Amino acid sequence: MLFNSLQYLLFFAMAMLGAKLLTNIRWQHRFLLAASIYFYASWNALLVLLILASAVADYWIAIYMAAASSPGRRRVLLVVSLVSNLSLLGFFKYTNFLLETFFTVQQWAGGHWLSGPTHLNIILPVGISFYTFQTLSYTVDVYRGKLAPIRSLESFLLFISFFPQLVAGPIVRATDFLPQLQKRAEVLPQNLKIGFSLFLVGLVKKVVFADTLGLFVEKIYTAPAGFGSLPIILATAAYAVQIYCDFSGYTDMAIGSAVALGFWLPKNFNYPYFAASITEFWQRWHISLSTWLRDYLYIPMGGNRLGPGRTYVNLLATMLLGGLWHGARWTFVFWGAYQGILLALHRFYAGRVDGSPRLQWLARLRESTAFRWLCVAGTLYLVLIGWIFFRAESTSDLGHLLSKFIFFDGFHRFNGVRLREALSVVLMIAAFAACHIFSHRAGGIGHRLGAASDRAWCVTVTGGFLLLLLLAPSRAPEFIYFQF
Amino acid sequence: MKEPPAPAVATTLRLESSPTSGTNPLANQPAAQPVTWRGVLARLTVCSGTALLLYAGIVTGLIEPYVRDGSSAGRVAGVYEGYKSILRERLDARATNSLVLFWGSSMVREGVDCAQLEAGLNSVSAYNFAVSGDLPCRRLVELPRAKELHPQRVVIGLSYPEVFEDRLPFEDQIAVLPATAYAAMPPAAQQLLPGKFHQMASRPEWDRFLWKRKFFLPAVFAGLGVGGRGDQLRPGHAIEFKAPWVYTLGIQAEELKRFLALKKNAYPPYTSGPQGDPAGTLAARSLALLVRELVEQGTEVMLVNMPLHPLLGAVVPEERRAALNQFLATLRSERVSVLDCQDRLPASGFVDLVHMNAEGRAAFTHVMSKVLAAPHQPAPAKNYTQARHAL
Repeated sequence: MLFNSLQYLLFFAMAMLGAKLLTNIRWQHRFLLAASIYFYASWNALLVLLILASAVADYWIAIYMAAASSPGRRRVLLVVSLVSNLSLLGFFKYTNFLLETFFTVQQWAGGHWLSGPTHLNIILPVGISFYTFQTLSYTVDVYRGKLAPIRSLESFLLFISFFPQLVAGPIVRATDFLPQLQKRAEVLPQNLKIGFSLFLVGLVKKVVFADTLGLFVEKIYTAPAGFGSLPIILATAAYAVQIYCDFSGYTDMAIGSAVALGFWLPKNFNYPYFAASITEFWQRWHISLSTWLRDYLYIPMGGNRLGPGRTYVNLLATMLLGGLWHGARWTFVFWGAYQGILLALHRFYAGRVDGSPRLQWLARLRESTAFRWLCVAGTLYLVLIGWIFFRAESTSDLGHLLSKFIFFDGFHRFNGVRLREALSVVLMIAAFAACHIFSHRAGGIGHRLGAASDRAWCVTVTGGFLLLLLLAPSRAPEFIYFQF
Repeated sequence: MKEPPAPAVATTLRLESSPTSGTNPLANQPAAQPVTWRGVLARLTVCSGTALLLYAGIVTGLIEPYVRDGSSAGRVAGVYEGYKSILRERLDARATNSLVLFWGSSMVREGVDCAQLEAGLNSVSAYNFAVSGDLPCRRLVELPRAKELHPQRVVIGLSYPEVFEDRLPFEDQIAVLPATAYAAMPPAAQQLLPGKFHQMASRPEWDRFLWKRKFFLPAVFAGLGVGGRGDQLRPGHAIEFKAPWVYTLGIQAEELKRFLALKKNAYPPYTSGPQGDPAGTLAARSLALLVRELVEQGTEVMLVNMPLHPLLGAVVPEERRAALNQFLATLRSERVSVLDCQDRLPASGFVDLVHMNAEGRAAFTHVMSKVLAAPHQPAPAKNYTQARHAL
């Protein structure tokens, strides 16, 4: 059930009606839990059991952990939680990747150590990367003593499976969500207005920008070998807009749905393409993942406390794993490594500028607006190169895509792309940039819309509906992050 | 990546009922009118209704005229209606001369000048019914109308796509015709086409109304006069059946060489593709069915392997060409002839790798008029009463 489907709108209307009518807190939460299970079961009813099993295991582990008398016993329970969660994630997500890698290496080496199928027919449960990280953060927080274990199993299951954020985040921390379950969620008309405004903005991002541009990106990236620099640069810029609008659009719809039901979810994006450095980009892009990786991976590995060399290694390792989290493909590993190297280089550069009196002029220059915009452009260029790693369908395509993107091969009339098609893409990117800048200055279109006067709200909503009617592609692809 | 404290980014949205919220961030906004359930739902209804009305206006005023006159899909509809209008004209004029129809893709559309052909042949009416990007499976929908016309000859210009492609026609080409057109297809054609085709063909009117949105941006660009090679269609192209189209803007040989080099001389389905053997592809099976249905009613069929630019012809592997010819040979019979013109034209006759220019069209039409001048089987007897009834 996709957010951008009539089926979801009907489902959501029923969920809201039920949550509104049920006055008893326990029954309301049970109802929302049942709705969440139904939501997930519409993809695969059997895999609901996987979420429930994973959640129930962590629920009991956390309770036993809090009751454990010795640190050793607590550590054992933490290891049990980590191993069980990561094993599930590893099995479903990485088995085929490991098998393929193993057999490729075996073939290269000319050995015959093992034989067997190179691919197993394993279904990837939608959202497994998200809910696994959510349950993991819960047990780690309980282990660290930051959080007392929750006693209500229903509430815990609702926290893990709450349908707006179940399949593609944001990765909600227990400390953010569980306190909201202490009282009945109020379904109010003003929250519906705010929630609907956010939802509509997300829907326009997804359907009008991401899906439309996605068709062009798919055309170029499916068989890039036949295309020169111009189409590849255009497709990469289009992909940057597509992935942002697809993922942040999903987040907006998730937050909007939650708001209408009387809940709030953490913000996941903060205008990442306005970042003036790669470090800032990661503070603005997929915030719930980057802060998760920071709190549960980078800092436990030592963070920046063990000297510059170790800091760079930690950054690289964190981003490598972050890349692998996105998918079991070498292109994601390369993307993670690329981001890690950029972060390490930026840290090195920032450290040098801040620490050297001779470079104070550069530190002062960094304060100027013009320099900041130059940095924004430079960061965007590096991010675009990163998206090539991310979107390339195979490592064999990577070389061609990167070389054509970086080394411009000139203007050619016959490049397999029609002028109107290219202009549509340029127009879409320009429209996105204009909306993005406007939204940035206005402090978020969705938020402003939720508080707008009736007339302004009606005009904007009508405009949004009309855009959807006019520009939605005839087929509705899934959200990109569903595959992760 | 920074360590705690958390980035200076507000990561939460607080709202009225949020249990953990201390303040409502919207509180600083100008005070809005009190919101009620009835008010929100009524406004949503009005907004969606207004948007739908505006959409209907744009479809009627902008999109439909564009689809009809300015898009390739418009020619599919134009050709489909063309059978009826030509039948009407012939019945009114009680025409008894031979009728020749040309079918195929843009290679035929730009390669055959029927006016030149008629001038060179005695007592022949020829019509160019070619459609850009056409595949034999799309043409199946025209069988009932083509049969009503009782053409003496149907010349099917084809190349590698018309035999090796296993894909469906473009959605526009299917959805532009009404569901009733597909319901009238012969049973064998109904069975041959896959479920996805039928799904698009039998789409209800409401769906078609919404589907027309895909022409919005092209219609806007066409209205503004923006377009490049391949975008601009001549007014009236949809119902021009004599010499529908020819490009005037050629592409330099160097550009074509660069293009092929970029593709490492792989230009599917001409040079390669997933289907090494045409037997079994949807295109090939549809072509065989088209031929069978036409022959059964006494129409002569000529299958012409269309000319290719020498640069492209040079990179088509011998096995590929042999497989195409072998397949066409299986269709050959007393009423079905096959003509291989792949190497017939020099580079000067093309604007790109597959499309002819005016010079190429004149030369190829000359070849066709010579071939068609050869004696052929007598035409089937016309039954005017039956034909008029069909109208």
